[in-house]
Amino acid sequence: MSERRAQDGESTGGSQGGDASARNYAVLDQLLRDCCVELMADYGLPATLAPPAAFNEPAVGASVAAIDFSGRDLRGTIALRMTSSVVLETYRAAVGVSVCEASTEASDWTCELVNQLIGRLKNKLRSYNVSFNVNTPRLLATFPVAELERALRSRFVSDRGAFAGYLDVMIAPGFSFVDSPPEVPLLDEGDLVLF
Amino acid sequence: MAKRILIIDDSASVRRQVSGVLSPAGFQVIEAADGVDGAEQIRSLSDLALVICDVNMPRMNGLDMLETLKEEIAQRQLPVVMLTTEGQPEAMARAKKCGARGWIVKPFKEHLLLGAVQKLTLSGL
Repeated sequence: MSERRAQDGESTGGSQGGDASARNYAVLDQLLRDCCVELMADYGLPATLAPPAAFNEPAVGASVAAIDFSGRDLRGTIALRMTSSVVLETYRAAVGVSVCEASTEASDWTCELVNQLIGRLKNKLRSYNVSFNVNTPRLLATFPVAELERALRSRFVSDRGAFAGYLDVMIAPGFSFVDSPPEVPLLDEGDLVLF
Repeated sequence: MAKRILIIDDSASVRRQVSGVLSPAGFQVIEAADGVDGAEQIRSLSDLALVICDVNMPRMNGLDMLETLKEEIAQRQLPVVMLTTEGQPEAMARAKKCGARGWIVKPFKEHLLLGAVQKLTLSGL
């Protein structure tokens, strides 16, 4: 299979395969950034993109979870790496109570956040008529891991800590992102529909 | 007597989050961690007032569980609300076809979840 993988780099990736490939990775990179920022904002954690020169991994006390996805056009892994302060702060915002860093609740919440991250990405990709199946999230005990070495990545800082999103993606040969407004209005995060 | 709500989600955090919204409002919240556990609970608990169910879960996902229990859910007039990160129209259509009464995209707004539960447990079908 001659799919192309995101190239090493902070944001643009995909230097192989010409303009279409570069655009594909640029679209994914922007979507990853948007999803990361929106996810944390929903839990009261406004964040800004860290400048490339400051692209250092969140170091001591960081948690990371990943989730695999596969579809006709895209397949790969998305991961979210956060300082423990981000995990604990968003948990408190969501559940209303505090937990300690080493708790099973904090680990579970780390997985739930990456689950919500892939959900956002999947929903945004509907605008390009792209869909995929999502596996269940898994906590990564060590970092970095080989599977994310070449991933698109963006790091963010907030007043409560730092976090980074990773997207290691393979794109089907010949695929190109084309705007394809959905026929049915899409639901946003937080929306409710009663049948 | 408190109405019993079953929350099926593989995330303990989400189960706790839902319980934290519904319990203070007078509901008794029961938990299941995947579609297999959820199906067992639905079959064994005849007095459930409503089910809240995730889609992507290990062992059995929420849509498969719903399809498996479609007839029983209809027979018991048991309202089911899907609570998931997914917002795909195809998945929503499948859930609706299997008898789901609602769909909420995570992260949920507490007042919307509570309002939907109150409405659906009041009216039944």
